[in-house]
Amino acid sequence: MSAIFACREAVRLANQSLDHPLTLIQRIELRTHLAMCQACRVYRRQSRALSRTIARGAQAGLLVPVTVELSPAARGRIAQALRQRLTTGDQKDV
Amino acid sequence: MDPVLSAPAPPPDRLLADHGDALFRYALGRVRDEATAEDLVQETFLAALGARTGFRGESSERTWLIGILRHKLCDHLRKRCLERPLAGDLDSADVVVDGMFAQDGHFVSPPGRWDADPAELSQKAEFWVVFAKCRDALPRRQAAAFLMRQIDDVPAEDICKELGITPTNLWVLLHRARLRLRACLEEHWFVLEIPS
Repeated sequence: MSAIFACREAVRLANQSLDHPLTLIQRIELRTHLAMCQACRVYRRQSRALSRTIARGAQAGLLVPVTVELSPAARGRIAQALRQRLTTGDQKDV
Repeated sequence: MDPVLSAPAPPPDRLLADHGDALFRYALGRVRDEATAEDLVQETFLAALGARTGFRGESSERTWLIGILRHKLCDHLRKRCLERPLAGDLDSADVVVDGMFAQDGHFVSPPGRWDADPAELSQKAEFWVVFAKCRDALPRRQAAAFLMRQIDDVPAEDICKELGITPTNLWVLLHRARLRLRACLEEHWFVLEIPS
C-alpha cells in the first residue's frame, strides 16, 4: 500500500481537509501515512498554520497596510464619475 | 411613501471620503494591480448611487458598501477566469506542483524547517507584501478559487457556480494553490526573508 499511498496523496488529503471534511477511509489513510512520514507531518503542520494565518490576516484587514490610500488622481476620477452619474440620473428623474 | 425611499441619500462625496480608502484596500488585497482595484471601487460607488436608499443606518454603511464590492470582485474574478479558459490551469497537469514530487510520489525536497512561527506572522506587514507576490504568481483560476475560499470564506458551491467548475475541480485548484503558495512563501519568506 505504501508505494501507492505516497506523499503526493497524503499532501492532497491534508490540503483537502482544510477545505472540506475527509471521508472516514481518507482520514485513516492520511493518519497512517503521517504516522510513518516526518516530511508530511511537517507539511501538514505548516500548511494548517499558514491557512489560519491567512484567514486571520484577511479577517483583520491586514492584507494591505492601512497606510495605503487611493491616489488623489484616482479619487478625483471616482468623484467625477459619481458627479456625472448624479447629473444624468437627476435628468432622468425629471 | 416608502420610509426607506424618503430617507436622505448619503451624499456621494461624503461616501467617497469616508469609505474610499477602506474599499480600495479591500479590493487591492484581492486583485493584482492598483488600476483594477480603483476601477472596482468606482463601480462600487456607482452601484451604491443607483441603490442609494438600499441601506438603513450609519453603522451598516461600510458593510453595505463592502457587500457591493464583493459582488464586483466576484464578477471580476469570474471574467478573468473566462478570458482564458482552463488551459494550463485545470485540465492539464500543474508542472510546478508535479515537480514537487518524484515518480514514486515522494517529496523531491521535503518541507524545510521554518524559523518563524506562522501564527505570529499576521501582524507583520512585510509578510503580507510577500504573500501578495506569491498570490499574484498563482495561475488565475487557482488564485480566484483560493481568494474566494480562504480569504472571503465563500461557500464552495457558490465558488463553483461563479467559476463554472465542479466541486472536484475546486478541490484540485485549492490543493494546487496551497502547494504553490506554501512553496513560494517558504522560498521568499521562511528561508530567505526579503527585506522590506
